[in-house]
Amino acid sequence: MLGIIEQMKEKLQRTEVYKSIFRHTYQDTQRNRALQIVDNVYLHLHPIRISRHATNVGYTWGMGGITFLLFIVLTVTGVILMFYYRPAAEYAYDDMKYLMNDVAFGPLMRNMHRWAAHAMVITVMLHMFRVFLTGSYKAPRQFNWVVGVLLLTLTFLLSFTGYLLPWDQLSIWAVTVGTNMARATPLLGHEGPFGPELGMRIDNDVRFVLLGGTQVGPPTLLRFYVLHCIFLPLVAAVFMIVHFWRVRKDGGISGPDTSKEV
Amino acid sequence: MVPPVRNVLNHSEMADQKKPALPPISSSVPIGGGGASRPAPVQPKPAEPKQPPAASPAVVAATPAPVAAPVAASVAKSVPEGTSVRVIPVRKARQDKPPENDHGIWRISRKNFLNIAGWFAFFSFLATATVGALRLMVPRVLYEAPSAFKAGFPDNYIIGEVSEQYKDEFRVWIVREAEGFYALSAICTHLGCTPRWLPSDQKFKCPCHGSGYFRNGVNFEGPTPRPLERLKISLADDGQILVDRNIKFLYEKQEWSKQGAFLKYT
Repeated sequence: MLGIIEQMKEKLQRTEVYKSIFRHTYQDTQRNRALQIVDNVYLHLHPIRISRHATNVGYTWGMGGITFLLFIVLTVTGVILMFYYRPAAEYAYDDMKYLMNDVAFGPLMRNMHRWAAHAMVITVMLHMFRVFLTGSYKAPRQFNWVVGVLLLTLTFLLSFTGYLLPWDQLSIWAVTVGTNMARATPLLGHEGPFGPELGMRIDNDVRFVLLGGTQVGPPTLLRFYVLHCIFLPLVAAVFMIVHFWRVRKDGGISGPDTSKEV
Repeated sequence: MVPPVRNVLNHSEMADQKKPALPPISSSVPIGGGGASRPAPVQPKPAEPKQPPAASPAVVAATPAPVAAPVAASVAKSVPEGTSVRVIPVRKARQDKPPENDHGIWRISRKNFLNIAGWFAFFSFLATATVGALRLMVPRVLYEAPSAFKAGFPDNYIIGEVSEQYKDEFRVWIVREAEGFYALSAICTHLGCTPRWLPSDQKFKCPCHGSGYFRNGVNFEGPTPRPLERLKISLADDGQILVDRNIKFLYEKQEWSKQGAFLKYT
């Protein structure tokens, strides 16, 4: 009996399908350890070897990784919420209430999304703070600092667009107040410097395009929904890819100055 | 234990190394370009001031043997013993013409007409699509309340009262004084929330940040920097009050005394 299983196992391991999925053995050798990382599309984001200081939580705070984890949590819970939420003024608030009161595990998913969003804003700022404190923005990492600043802005925009979606008084007025800043955009806002001179009015300036109207209304809800669920996450993902790739290319996570050590 | 020999696995080792092992690459510099990173005097440069600088890398690349040798020697010095260094021989770049005569694709001829036409079509399409996508974001039709509206007959208003009848739809208060009417925009001049009319306190109070205004619209408390805006008010042909929200009168610009900011009616 055991012999048959062994035989089948050996046969299975010789098939093309098996060998194309499991490309190496799992004996604990230096080579296999490395291959486990290199041969995995997700793990290969990580370097095969990292210096000892890179695992020092006291130094890195792990904030970049936590931010990325939160982004994944937000993506998954956000997609789940999309199954119940309709971004139309007639439905949006009721759908949110439905999620919170009658959908099984709806409150869990929505609260995870909400708290992860708050946490991500905090961790992304702490990450920036840490990078500043450790001087990790210096050469050769200047480029990645700029990418990081763009990602910080994208995080804020994601947070801001998501805030309108419950479509209650709080979110409508918060977004009203927030988008009123766009009136004062130089050149492109109807109350900004050189705006009126360039023919900007309340119904053709940059705020109008953002809101899809002269005030926060149903078109705004739809626009913010599309920005929140499609556009901004895609752009953020692209910049994240560049960000991680750049971390690798610039020599991994920065560490204490070791130039004076032997 | 592990000799300093390159194997497939040492991505990170490259980064950890104090002195980057770049020399092998630099030996191929003449292909890529700039003379800045080229090590040492590779070749006695002919003192020709008239020679165009663009041509100089090609000149260097054309004579591979004398270049490679001194580079390899300098490389060998900078690398610790026991390390194997692979020197990439400099290859002559393939060129049909001397570079100064080569115009690339930017010369219209029968051979590359389709090439240029293809790129032109590609960029035209890209530009059109971009402009179209941007223009699409500006709506042509608004499902919003009209900017001008009729607010009933003046005799239906009580002297001294602030009418909130048109606030929900048009965000306008119509105030009846003994001498006539004025229309106040119900948009807080602080950050754009809708204030409330509090009849007992005889003031407009914004729920967002606490800005307060007198009945005539002048601010007196909270963070707001200026009074509420007045809107154009007049009598329509049929005798009803007509309010146009597009025309505003700002107190700080002394516009409240202008024609249209106040409707005289007794």
